[in-house]
Amino acid sequence: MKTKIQGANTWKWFVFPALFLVLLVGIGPLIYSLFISTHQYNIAKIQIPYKFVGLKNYATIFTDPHVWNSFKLTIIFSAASVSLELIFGSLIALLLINVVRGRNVYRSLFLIPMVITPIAVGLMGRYIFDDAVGIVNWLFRLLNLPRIIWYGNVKSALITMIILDVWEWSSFVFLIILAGLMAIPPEYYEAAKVEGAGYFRTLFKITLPTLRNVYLLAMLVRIIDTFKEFDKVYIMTKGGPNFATDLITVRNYTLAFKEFNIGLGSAFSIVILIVMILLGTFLIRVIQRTY
Amino acid sequence: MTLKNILKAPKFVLIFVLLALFLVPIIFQMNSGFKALGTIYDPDQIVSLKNLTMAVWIDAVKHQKFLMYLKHSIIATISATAVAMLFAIPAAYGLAKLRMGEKTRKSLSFEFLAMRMLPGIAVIIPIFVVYKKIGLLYTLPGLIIIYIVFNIPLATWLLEGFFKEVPNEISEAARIDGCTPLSELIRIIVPLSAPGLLSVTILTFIFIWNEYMFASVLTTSSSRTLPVWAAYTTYQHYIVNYSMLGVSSTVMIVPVIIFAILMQKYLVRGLSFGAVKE
Repeated sequence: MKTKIQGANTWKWFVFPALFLVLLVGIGPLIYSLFISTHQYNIAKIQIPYKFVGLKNYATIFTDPHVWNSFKLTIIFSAASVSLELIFGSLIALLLINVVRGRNVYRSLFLIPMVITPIAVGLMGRYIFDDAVGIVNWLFRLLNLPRIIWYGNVKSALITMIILDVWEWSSFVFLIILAGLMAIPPEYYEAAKVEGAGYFRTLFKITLPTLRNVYLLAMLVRIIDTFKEFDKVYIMTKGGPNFATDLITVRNYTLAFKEFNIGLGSAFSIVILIVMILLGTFLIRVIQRTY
Repeated sequence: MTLKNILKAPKFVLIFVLLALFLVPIIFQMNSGFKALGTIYDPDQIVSLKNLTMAVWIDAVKHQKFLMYLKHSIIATISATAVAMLFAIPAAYGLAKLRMGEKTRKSLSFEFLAMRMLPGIAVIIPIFVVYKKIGLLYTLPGLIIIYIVFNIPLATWLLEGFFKEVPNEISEAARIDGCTPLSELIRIIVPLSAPGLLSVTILTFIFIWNEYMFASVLTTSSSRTLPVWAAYTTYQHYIVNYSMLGVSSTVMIVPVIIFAILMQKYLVRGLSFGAVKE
């Protein structure tokens, strides 16, 4: 329907202010970052002059063993956290699917870990996993289990981070799976019943195919977010001990804002950005193909 | 008790164990704010509820400039949320309801979503350099500008979903009556999608309230927000100050917990990019 008031360009008046701001302050810096990344630029050491160095920063990044280590740790952290979150999330959803009374109360309570301030989660991790006065080792002592130095030990520091991430985000998987289950129209199940389909046939023909997209979405969100993980890991260990929890974002932050090597930090952040774009595009393709 | 109820019992035991796993650590952490350092480092009083004190809270208010950082957080969160919504609402309306090429609509809408995947670390370095040059570094307004811009995309994307749910017949009827797009947005779309609008506002509020990385780089002792203060105050002495940790964490998480419980239904939708509608 055509109206006089709404021209073909009316939408621009509404969309462009937001779009302009986002491009200016969101995308603009990325272009500037590309520029900085080709320069030797250290804001703390004046004896290092600011100058154009071409792709040297990128060469430094790709030959830095700490950078490769950070990618390795991030992949381990992401894979372990996301798989465990899918398992625990599904388990809670299965437990609560038939609980009708008080369902909203349960959902609210399970929602708490994922909305509270990530810095508070990191600080909480620091406290509960403290080897002397933390409640985790207190519980271990009660159960006659050995005392563990959780995040202070190279072997278990990353595991501690994974446990904390699973604690924080399992309920995200739970909540969207529960919503997915509840969104399946009851007529489907009634039709299946009329046709005489059993429990497993219903599960495999109706429930799981419908849930597949929900699972893929949960994986997409969680993989991207675990690659972006920074707050709680940085607040707990700053990447230590001995680089055991030095995820890509932590490494990048340390390069740029602790060593003040802005040029090198920019180059690394561009590499991370490209990895994220490839990863995001790949995951979205997978989801689109299965739709 | 019938047989059915007995079979149900283990299930509820399991649910309560899980709930305890999720909630006890938070309670343990909040409780530490009411313990003096002597108590907190005593291995025999780990779960004891004796010797609780308000001393740490009083110290935070008196000597730690805690109220100033709380004020910064409140100012930054409220102003950035409000301005971000002012930009996001018209943008979402334009994408959801106004006449435009289908291709443009889809690609713009996707661009707003894609911004959610952008790692903050990739933009923080150039912003730090630019802010240093133009004098916005270490100021609260500088931080607020970043919060506004980085929360517009997801808010727009979510609002677009809510606005699309308003039936087109209503919009068309309004336009026949001579409603301009702006008055249609204000008089029809906004009131009809009020719950959605509220949930996106609260979600944006929570994101900004919780933000740490930008704030840690772009603020200093005179402009810190709560998360930066929390990180700083916990580690400022030779030992990790678990009492102050309890105080700062409690102040950060209590408002969020209240919002989460009130808005549970809508938050799930917001956190899953609007994919979960219910």
